[in-house]
Amino acid sequence: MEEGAELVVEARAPGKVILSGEHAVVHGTAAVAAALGLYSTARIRHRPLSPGTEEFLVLELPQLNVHVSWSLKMIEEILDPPSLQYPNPLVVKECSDLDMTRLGSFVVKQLSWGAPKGTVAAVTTFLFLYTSILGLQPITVRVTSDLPVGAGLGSSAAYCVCLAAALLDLAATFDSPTEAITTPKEQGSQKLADTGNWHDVDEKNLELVNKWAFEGERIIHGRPSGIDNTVSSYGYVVRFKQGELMRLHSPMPLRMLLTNTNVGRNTKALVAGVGERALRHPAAMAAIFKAIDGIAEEVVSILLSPSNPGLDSDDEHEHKDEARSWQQLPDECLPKSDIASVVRTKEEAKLEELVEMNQGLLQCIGVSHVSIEAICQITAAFKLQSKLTGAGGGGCVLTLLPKQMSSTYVEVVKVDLEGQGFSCFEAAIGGHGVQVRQELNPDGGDE
Amino acid sequence: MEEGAELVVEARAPGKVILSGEHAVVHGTAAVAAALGLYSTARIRHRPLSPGTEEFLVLELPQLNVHVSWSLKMIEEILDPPSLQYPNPLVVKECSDSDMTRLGSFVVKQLSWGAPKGTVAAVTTFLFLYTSILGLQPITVRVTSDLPVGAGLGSSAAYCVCLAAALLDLAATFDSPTQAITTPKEQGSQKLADTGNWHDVDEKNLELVNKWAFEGERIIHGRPSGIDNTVSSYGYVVRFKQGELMRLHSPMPLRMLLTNTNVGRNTKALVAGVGERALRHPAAMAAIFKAIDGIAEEVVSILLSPSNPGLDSDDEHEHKDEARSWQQLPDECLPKSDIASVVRTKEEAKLEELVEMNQGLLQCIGVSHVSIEAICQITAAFKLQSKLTGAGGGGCVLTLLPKQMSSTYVEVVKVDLEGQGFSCFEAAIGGHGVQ
Repeated sequence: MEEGAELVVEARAPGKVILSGEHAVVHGTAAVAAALGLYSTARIRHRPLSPGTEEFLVLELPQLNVHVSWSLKMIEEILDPPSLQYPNPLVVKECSDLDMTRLGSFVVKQLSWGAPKGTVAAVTTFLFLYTSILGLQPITVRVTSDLPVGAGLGSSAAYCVCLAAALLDLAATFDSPTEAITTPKEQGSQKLADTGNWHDVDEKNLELVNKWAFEGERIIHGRPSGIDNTVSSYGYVVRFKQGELMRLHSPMPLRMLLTNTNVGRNTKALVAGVGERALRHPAAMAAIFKAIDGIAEEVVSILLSPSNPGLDSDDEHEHKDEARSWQQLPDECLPKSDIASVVRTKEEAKLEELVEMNQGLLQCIGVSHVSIEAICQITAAFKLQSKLTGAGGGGCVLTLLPKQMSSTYVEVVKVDLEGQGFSCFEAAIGGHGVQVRQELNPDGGDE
Repeated sequence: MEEGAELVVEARAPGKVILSGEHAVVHGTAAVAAALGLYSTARIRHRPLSPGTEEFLVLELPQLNVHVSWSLKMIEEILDPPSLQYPNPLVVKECSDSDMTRLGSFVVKQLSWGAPKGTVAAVTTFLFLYTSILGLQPITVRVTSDLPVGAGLGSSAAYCVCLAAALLDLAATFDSPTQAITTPKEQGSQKLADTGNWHDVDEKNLELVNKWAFEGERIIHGRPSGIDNTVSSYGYVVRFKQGELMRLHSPMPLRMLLTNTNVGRNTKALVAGVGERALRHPAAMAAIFKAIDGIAEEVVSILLSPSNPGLDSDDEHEHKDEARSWQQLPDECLPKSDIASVVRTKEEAKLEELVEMNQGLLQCIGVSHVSIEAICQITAAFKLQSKLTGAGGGGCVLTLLPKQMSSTYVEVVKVDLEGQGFSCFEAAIGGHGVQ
């Protein structure tokens, strides 16, 4: 690498949605999660400086209002390694209580007075990954995200995954005197200098990324399940049951509307409430969990089945016809029945029925909310099926969109939802996991 | 009986609500139904006439617009017995296909042009019960009902039960040359001339009433389950599972709000839809039915447990306090939180949770409706739990009312519901059967 040339490494990691099985999974049933096509992106710039120049670590988390610039010398003095001298990216270690305390108090002192707990956790997690994977290198790190925080969409895991991937990629790129990550360097997939192209991370490195990200999650969440970071790293669809994660490379990507109720909730309380209800009504609740298990397993088998282009209804209403009839009508006149009569494949119809049933069961266990049900009713008027995803009690709702549904129709649905104060965004579900790309800017790139 | 003196026999039979288990029951699970404190009443007047006077049968079903007066002679000529000559109230027989045809075509000809199918069935059923139990006696019969028709509240069964009971009671009262019902006459419970007092029908006769009512239901419904007439005859609470009916004399009467969505529905289609969903998703639906079974069985055990006066919450907000605080506030100011904080017993709270869960499961199997869910949401704002009762897809919704809830508060809830175009009425659940 030329001295003075700036190397830029970017990694982007998707969020996640739970398709089926939330809440029941802690009672032994199966659950299915899929990658959500909204990303957290970490961008790391490294520019080697002339010897003697003071070296800095710059961290920017604009959405959290974090803009810090720390001299590496100061970090070294305060944090007092040994891990700082000898980062070991190949050997994943957890953040010990001692390290957690040291890093945590450093961060608290360095951030402005009264920084929120989540912000402290995010910076602490970064420092842990940075010092453990890369070591004290003069880099500028900027992380941004499309994912809403605290909405059950895996934003913290995506943060950890994109950071871990970017740091690991940078570490692999450096011809580091310490234990370099030779395998990825030789394989080369993480080092392609094709600017602009995102590359999947190859299998072996994914495990490393995922494990580091999990350790990061542990700093933020304490006792994470591992589902979020696994989906964010590997992508596609993941089935989990009784602690076991099974990755599914599903041939059937889904199209969804995600609607944020913008209602906060207490996840711990919701989970505890379900447990208490199960104690009060053991037989009924056991059967309800079993039903959710059945639904999750059915979702898995539908996603794994080869795509079936067969159409479900006798109505030969094709996409072209939708476009034509739209052109004939003024915008305000799209009748709900037109939208409701969009054709579905057999698989889509089955999935919609499973979504409807899963939502009913989630209401049974007591984790729904008036805002969630309002969204379900609005979409049901268009014959679209919705269910809460994640903890419930607020949070997000997913709505299945048939592939044949034109974006015009989707806009009509969004208008209705936004009219009620909800925020919605369309997203592809079940897409790729974390990806990396590099740029090499000989002239020094952007500053 | 004096010649010329008029004897009046009245019978009233309650409707029913399904507390838990509708739809799932045909898939093998338990269900629980209870008598609904709304009645169908049959009033029969008999006045022996001087010999030679033409004798008539008068039937009035004012809510169905039926006012007919048939000479007994005409009936005899057209219908052509033998059952008309020899009614046998003690031996329950079904209405044979040929009788059904004969009675049916008679009724169709006699009623005004274009009488609805339900009206024809009601009159046919009456004729069947009349000719089989009582025979050709000159009586005036009038049947009225508080129960909405076709709303899943057992109105047709209540009709059959009150008719059967009134006819049987009259037959027992006559010193009939044919096989009289001697047992009831001797026991006297059906013959007390205390005007104004309703009497329970005693156990042995209840079986007769119920069986005759069931045959009547078969004319109206084809293949009834027998639950409606059993609840209407015996009252209280009935649990049924896989064809077996178990009567529960529950010490815990419930208080409910019944709200009619006023939305009609196709019961056959709803039932078929559930079956089809079960074929598409066998594992999940089997577990859902099992959950409903668990809920129904829990409802039964709560209803059977001795009343527990223990209070559920730490809030010592008593009924008296509710009245006092109401007096302090103008009517328009009753906050929802006040209503929501009404104290429940432990049993009431458990039942409410079961109602909430049952409704969720009914939504899962696909028999709910926007109107039902609207009602559930309105009551949920008051922390009251509701569920559809019966076939779903419209029909009625029941809401549990804690005993401690004052009628003022109930009125507030009713106003909200009626404001959305629904009709509601408060009713006692699990009360007596036919009287």
